[in-house]
Amino acid sequence: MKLAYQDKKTPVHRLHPVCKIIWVLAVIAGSILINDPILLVLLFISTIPFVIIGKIVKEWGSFVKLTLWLSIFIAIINMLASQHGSHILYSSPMLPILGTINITLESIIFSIGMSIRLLATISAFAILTLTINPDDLLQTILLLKIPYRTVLTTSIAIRFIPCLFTDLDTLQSSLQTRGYQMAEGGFLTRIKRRAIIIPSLLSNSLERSIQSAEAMESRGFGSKGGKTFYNVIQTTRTDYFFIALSLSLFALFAIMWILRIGTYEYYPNITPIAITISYVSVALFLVLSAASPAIFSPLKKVIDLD
Amino acid sequence: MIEFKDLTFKYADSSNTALSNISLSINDSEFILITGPSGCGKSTLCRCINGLVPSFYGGEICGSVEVQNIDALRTPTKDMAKTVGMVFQDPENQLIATDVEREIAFGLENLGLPKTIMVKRIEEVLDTVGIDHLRHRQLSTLSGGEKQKTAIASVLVLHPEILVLDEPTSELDPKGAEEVIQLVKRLNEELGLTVILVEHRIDRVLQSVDRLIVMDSSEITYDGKPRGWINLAENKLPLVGIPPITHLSVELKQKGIDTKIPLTIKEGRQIFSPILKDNKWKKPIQTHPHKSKNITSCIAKARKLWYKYPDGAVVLKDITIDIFKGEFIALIGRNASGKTTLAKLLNGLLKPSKGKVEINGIDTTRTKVENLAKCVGYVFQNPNVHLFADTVEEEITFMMNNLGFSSKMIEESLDKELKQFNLEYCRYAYPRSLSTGEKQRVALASVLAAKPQLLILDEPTRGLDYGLKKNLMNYLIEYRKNGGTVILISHDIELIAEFGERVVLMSEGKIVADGNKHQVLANSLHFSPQINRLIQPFTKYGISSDILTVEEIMQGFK
Amino acid sequence: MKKIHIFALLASIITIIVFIIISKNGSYDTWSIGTLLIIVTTMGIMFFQFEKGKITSKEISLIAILSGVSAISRVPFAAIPSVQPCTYIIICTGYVFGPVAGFMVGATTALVSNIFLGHGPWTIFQMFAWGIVGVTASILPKLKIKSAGVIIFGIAWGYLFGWITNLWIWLAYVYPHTFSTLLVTMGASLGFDTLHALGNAIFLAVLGEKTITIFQRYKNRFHIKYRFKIEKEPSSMSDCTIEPSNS
Repeated sequence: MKLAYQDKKTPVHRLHPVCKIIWVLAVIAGSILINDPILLVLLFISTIPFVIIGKIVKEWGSFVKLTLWLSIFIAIINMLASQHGSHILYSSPMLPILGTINITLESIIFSIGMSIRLLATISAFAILTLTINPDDLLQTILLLKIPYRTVLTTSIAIRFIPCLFTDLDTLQSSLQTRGYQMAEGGFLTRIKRRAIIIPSLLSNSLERSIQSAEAMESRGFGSKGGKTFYNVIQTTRTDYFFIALSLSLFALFAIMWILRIGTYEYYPNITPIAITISYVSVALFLVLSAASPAIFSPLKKVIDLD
Repeated sequence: MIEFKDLTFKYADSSNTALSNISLSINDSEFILITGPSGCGKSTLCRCINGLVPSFYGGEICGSVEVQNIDALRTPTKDMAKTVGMVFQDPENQLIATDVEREIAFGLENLGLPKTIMVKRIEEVLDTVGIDHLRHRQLSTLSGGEKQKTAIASVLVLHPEILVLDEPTSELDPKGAEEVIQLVKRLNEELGLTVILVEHRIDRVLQSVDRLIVMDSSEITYDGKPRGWINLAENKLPLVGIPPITHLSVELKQKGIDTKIPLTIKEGRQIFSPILKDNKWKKPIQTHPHKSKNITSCIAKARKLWYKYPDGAVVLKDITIDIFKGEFIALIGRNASGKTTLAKLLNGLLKPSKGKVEINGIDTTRTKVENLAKCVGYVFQNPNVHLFADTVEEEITFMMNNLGFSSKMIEESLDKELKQFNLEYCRYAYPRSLSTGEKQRVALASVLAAKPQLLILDEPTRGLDYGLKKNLMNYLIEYRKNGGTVILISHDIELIAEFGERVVLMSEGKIVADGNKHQVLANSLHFSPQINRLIQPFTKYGISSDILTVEEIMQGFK
Repeated sequence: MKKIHIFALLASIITIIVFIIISKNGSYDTWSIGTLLIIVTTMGIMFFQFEKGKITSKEISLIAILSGVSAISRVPFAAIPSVQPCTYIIICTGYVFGPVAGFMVGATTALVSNIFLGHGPWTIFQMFAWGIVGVTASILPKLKIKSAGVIIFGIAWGYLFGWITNLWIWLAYVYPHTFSTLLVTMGASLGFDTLHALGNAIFLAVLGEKTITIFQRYKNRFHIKYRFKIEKEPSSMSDCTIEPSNS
C-alpha cells in the first residue's frame, strides 16, 4: 500500500502545509455555507488550478469518480425523502409503509446543487490527501501544543505501516508455501480462510510494540518537566503571505454568510438567480481568492530565492 | 563506573532466574563485549544498566546496580536516558519517527531542551555518526545498517556516558554489520564512551575490545582479556563459536604445538608463519569437482529466467540453473543481488517475467504456489511468520492437513518430527511463548513434516548463536540423508565453508560463479573464509590453496 | 472524583446548555448542530482522557501499532466489499484494554487508513464511529458478556457504524433534516451494512476468543510489579514491594 501522498515537487507541493490546511478548511467551510449552485460550481472550478499545477490529475480523478457514485446516492435519498417542493413531476401510487412518494422538480434541482457541493468538498479533501505530507500535517497540528500524544500515536502508526505491510506479505507467502488455499470456496469460507492471518499479524505486531516502547522509554519519553518541540518545517516570509491569502478566504465566506450572499432557497419553489453586477463581482472575487494560492504558488520559489 | 553487586533477577512470568549472583564492575571508557548462547541472560544484564529491568519488565530482584552513582534499579528508565544510551537488536522497531532528523530530535524533545541546543546537538551527532547525508530521508527507505546508525545517533544525541548495544548487528547484512561495528569502535576510541556490546558473532570485534564477558545460563563464566578466555574454557568453545583463526591455535595446541592466540588474519599469519612454512604438511588435499549429474534426477530447473518487480526494477537477469536431487546448495551474494527473488521463483511465490521455471517438470506459471508446496518447502528467516496455530502439535500438522494427508500419515509423521526435533516436551505449548531455538525447530519441523523434496531456507541462521546454528545444520544433514535437497541462502561464509557443497554466487541479478565450495570460495577477496585467507601466502610450502576450514587444514597435518 | 471525570461532566453540561440555547432560537438547524455537538464533545472527552490521563510509552506504542494493523488489515479483504477486520480488532481492543485504548485505536484506524485511501468528510465520522465501538466494547466484560453476546454486539455495530458514517451525507446534503429523511439515509446503505455486520460476526466467531487471549496475554505483561528481595531467603520476599510509577 502506497501513501496517497507523493512528493511530486511541484509549486503546490512546496506550499507551506499550514497554508494548504487553512485553504482546504476554508473551501470546505465555504461549500457548506454557500448553497447557491452557480457559486458552488465556481468554487469547485477554483480548486482545479491546484490539481493541474500539483500534477495530481489522475489521482484526483479517482476521487471525482467516487463523488459521482455518491451523488447518485444523494439524489435518490433527496428525491425519495424530501416531499417538499411545489412542482410535482411524478406521484407514485400508495406504497406500503412509505405511503405516496412525490418526486418534485425542486428535489431534483436540490440534488444537483448538493452534488456540486459534494464535488467541491471532495476536491478540496483530495488536494489535502494528495499534496500534504501526512508527517507535515501532524507536525502542524503539533504546533497547537495540545494533542501531543494523539499526534505521536498517529505518527508511529504511519511509520509502522510499511513494515506491517511487509509482515502481512510474508505471512501470506508463508501460508501459501505451506499449501494453504486462501482463495477457495464460497463467500463465507473465503473470509474464514483469509482470517487466519490476522492473529499472527497481531501477535508479531504486539512484539514490535513492546520493543518500540522500550526504545521510547530509553530515550527519556515521559520525563518530567516541559517537553519541547523541534519543528523542522521552515517558515519563510513568503509562506506567511500565502497563509494570509488562505485566511482571507475564510473571511470572505464569513462575510458572505453574514450578508446572506450565496444562500439560495430551493424549496418550496425554485426561482431563477438574478445575475446582477454585484453578484458577478462576488462570483469573480470568489474564484480569484479561492484559486490564488495555487496560481501564485510558482512565484514562491522566485521570491524565496531573492 | 558501573557496579553490579550480587544481582539476582527473575522475570515475573518465568520460573528460572534470568541472572544469578552477578557481580561486575565496569570502568569508564572501557569497551566490553558480552557474549553467550541465546537465553543466557546477556540481554537482561544490559537492561539492568538503564533500569528497563525491573521497571519496564517487572519481576523479582535482589542485589544492586550502580551506574555513575545512580541506583539504576530504583530509577525510572526515562531518567537514565542522559546517562545510558541503549541500542536494541531490531533496527525497525526502535525507530518511531518518519524521518531521520525527527527521530534524532525525539529524545531531546523528551528531555525538554531548548531549540537552540537541539539544533546544535543534532548537527554534531549527524557528523559524528556520519549520517549527515541521510538527515531528510524517510526511515522506511533506509537499509538496515543505516537504520541502526540512526538509532545510535538518536541515543548519542542525549550525550550519554555509557552506550549499551544489545545485538545491534544480528538483523543486518555483513556490510551493515561491519559499518555499525566500525562506528562503535570509533565512538569508544575518539569520544571515550564506555561501550557495552552484546554480540553472537564475535570475530569482528574481539580484537578491539578491552574485556570479554562470557555468560552461560544466567551466570558470568568468564570475565577478562579476550585472549585469556580461549585458554581457559575449551569445553565452552563450541557453544559460542570463536573465530576460525583462533580455533586453529586451539587445535594446534591439542597437537602439542603451543602458539600465541591470534584474533585477526594479520596476527594469524605472523603467529602461524613458522608452522605453515614447515614441511609438515601432506600433499594438497583432494578437492571435489562438481560432477554433472544425470538430467533425470533434476528437481528444479530455471531457463533464461528474468524477473522484474512491478516497480520496474529488474532483479534477475538471464538465470539458468539446474538443481539436482540430493544437492546442498548455498546461495550467496551481496544484499539485493537477487538471491531471495531467485528462491521465491523456485517455489512459485513469484512467477518469471521471462523464461521458465520447472519444478519436477511442472511449469510454475501453470500452477499455484499452494500446489507446489508438496514438492518445495520454504523456511523464512523469522520463525514467527511460520506460527499460526495454538499448539506445537497443531503447528506441525497444519501443513499436512492443508495438503490433504491421511490422518494415519499425519499421526506417524507428527510423532516422528516431535521426536526428531526434540519437541515432545512442549507438544501442547503455545508456539509463540517458546525460545528462539525452539521456535526455529517448530518452524523447520512444520515444513519438513510434509516431506518436501526440496527445502529452501532464507537466511535461517541470521541472529542465531553458534550452538543453534550447528543444531540447524545437523537437522539439514539428517534431512539430506533421507534424500532431501537443500538450498540455503546465507551470508555466513564460515558456515557454508563448513557445511556447504555446491555454492552459487550471485551479483546484480546474475549468477557469477557456480560450483563446488572449494572452487567458488577459495581465493575470493570478499567471500573467502578466514582460514583460506590465512593460508594464501603459504601455498608454495605445500598447502593446498583451496582449504577452507580448520578441519581441512588439520587433516593435512602430519 | 478524578479530574478527568469532572472535565467530562462539565463538557457534557455545557454541551446540553449550548444545545438548549440553540434549539430555542428557531433560525438554526437543531438537528445538525445537535449531532455535531454530540460528536465533538464525545471525541473531546476521549482525546482529553488520552492526552492528560496516566498513559505510558507501552500504551502509546500499543495503540499505534494496533491502529496500524487494523488499518492495513483492510487490504487482504479488499476484494470482498464492506468486509474488513477493523471493527473486530477494535472491539477486541476495547474489550481487553479498556475504553481509552479502544477509542484511540478506533479513531486512529480511521485517520491512518484514510491517509492511504483518501480523506473526506467521512473521516471524522469514521473516527467517531470506530472510537465509540471501542468505548462500548469495553463495557462488555463488565457486563460479563462473552462469545455469543460479543458476536451480537459485532452485528449491531455493523449497522450502527453504517448509520453513524452516513450522517455526513444527511447533515450536509439532504434537506430537510427530519426523522423520515434520516431513516431513508440510514436505510440507503442497508446492503453494505449487512455485509459489514456479517463480516464482524464471522471474524468474532472465528477469531474473537483467540484474539482476546492474545491481547490478554500481552496485557499481563503490562501490569508489571517488581519487588526487591532484601535477603535471598524466600521468607522475606515481600519486604519491599514497589509499584512502578508508570504502570
